[in-house]
Amino acid sequence: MRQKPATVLILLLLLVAVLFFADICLGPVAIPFKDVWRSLTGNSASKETWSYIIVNYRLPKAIAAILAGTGLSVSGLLMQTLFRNPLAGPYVLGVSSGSSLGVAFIIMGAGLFPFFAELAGSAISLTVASCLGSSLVLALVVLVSARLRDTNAILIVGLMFGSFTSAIVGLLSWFGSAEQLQKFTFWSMGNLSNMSWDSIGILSFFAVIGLVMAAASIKSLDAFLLGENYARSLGVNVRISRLLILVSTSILAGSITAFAGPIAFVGLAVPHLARLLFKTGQHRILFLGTILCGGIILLLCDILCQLPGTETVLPINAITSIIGAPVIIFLLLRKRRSAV
Amino acid sequence: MKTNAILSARNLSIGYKKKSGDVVIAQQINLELQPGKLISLLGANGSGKSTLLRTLTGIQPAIDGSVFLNGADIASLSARQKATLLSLVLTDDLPPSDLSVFELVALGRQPYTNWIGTLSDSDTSPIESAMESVGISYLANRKYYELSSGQLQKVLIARALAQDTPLLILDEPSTHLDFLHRAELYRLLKKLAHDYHKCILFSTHELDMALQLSDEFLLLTDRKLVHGGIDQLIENGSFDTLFPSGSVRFDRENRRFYFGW
Repeated sequence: MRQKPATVLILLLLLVAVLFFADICLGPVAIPFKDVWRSLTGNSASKETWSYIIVNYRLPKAIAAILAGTGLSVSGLLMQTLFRNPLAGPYVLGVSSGSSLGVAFIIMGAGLFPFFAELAGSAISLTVASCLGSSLVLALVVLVSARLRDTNAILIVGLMFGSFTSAIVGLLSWFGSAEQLQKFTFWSMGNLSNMSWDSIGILSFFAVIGLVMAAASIKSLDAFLLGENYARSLGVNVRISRLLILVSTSILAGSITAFAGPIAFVGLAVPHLARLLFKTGQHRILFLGTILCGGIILLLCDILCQLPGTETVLPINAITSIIGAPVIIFLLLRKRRSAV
Repeated sequence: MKTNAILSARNLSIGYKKKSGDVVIAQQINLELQPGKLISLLGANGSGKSTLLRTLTGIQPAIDGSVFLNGADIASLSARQKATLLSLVLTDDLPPSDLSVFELVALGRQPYTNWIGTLSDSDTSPIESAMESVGISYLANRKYYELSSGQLQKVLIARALAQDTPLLILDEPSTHLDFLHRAELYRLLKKLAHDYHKCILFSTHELDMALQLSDEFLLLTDRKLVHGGIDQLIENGSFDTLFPSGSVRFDRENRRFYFGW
């Protein structure tokens, strides 16, 4: 009737490996396959620049794609279960906008708050500001959702927070210098490249913390599928579990947004892809499935970004939106009681 | 507490705490529910049945007095300890998900599984026997959202059974069911109470069936709770005052309610 989840997971893992390698091979500069391999294995390629491109540009970019895809997708999975809404996700609920707000304060707030000028260069302060911004918006969404019985209302609330934060960002950019504005605009288009190994280190650190917390929530997430009252009756400490899930989502969405910019729709669409593949509600399978599918989707998007065969590189947000927006409309049209 | 009561209450007052003062729905509630009994909770709309059940299950705090589960004060039990003593079937709508019937019933094992919820052999057999005794084994691989409301109600009961608790509380389990399915449901509850020696408490508006099938009754009326068997309650006139308005009257002879004109 169905394949074993383990088989599908292994196939997905293989696909991640293939795409990871493909992502490194492809790019505006054509590099022969064997030179890519030699650079990756620590030998030098035929040209010095090729080695440099592979090791310091394409490899971190591919790793960033996996981290970002994984983290955003898992945070989407957590939000969809916690908010009992299949259309929830870090972008839709305004959590990414919250991160933008945090980043905007750091990059452009120097005009208003001179203190920020010292922080603007530091990746850590950017990440922390972004996580604070995302958790602030998430906390507001939680507060509002506790008062509204209609789970769809939180989508509208998320939309409102989104426009509210972009208005503040607009104000900040009014006061910012042209240079700051350019930096922020470039950041907000979403960008996996230009990631130094240091940034990768910090991003992995936060992503792993977020994923570990998410993994620790797997059992309570299953219970939340029956609603909070049933979850409580099954022995779940609802308050602590919910807090853990929320902190995990904030860290994942916040840190990734800090480094890669607001990447739309991945967090919303990938959990559904995992559900379609595994046809289950159990989070211990969906969690792994979402991790792998998230990596696959963002690697694919990153490959498409480079417009294979040309020298143009598109912002990743454009690609994810072009793919993601139709997916959401598709989901809305076939919305039933199921989660897909 | 001395007895082998699975659920008991002492000097319990139920209601809502508000800043302007407590709203008391019923007070001086004392009761002891024994295993192996099917007990129905009857009362008019607004008499506080849901509040009572919410207080007895610890979802809502009592205004005064205490509730004891298996002799232990419910306020002192951890969520996990409670989960091994008391299982629930609620009227809450299930959020959207892709749970299959088997997965849903398996969630009843959560109090016993490891940190990630893996099912061991000692978990699968209670799940399978729960599905069997409720008669839904053939639905195991279906998605829960494909089921009729009668089937879903059985699945939720199987989930509660898989939780393997001495006490099972159901909030209006027969709502949305037609006559046939209500009859099946009550027969099932009766069987579970007697065969598995469980204490099953349920609230209902289904007076006729409740009167025919229940071993004991909790009647909630006029801010008081009365507990007893049918003969005792007929004797002391409790059924006569269950619905005070006069549009319903209780016929002692036939042991049922009639329209009051």
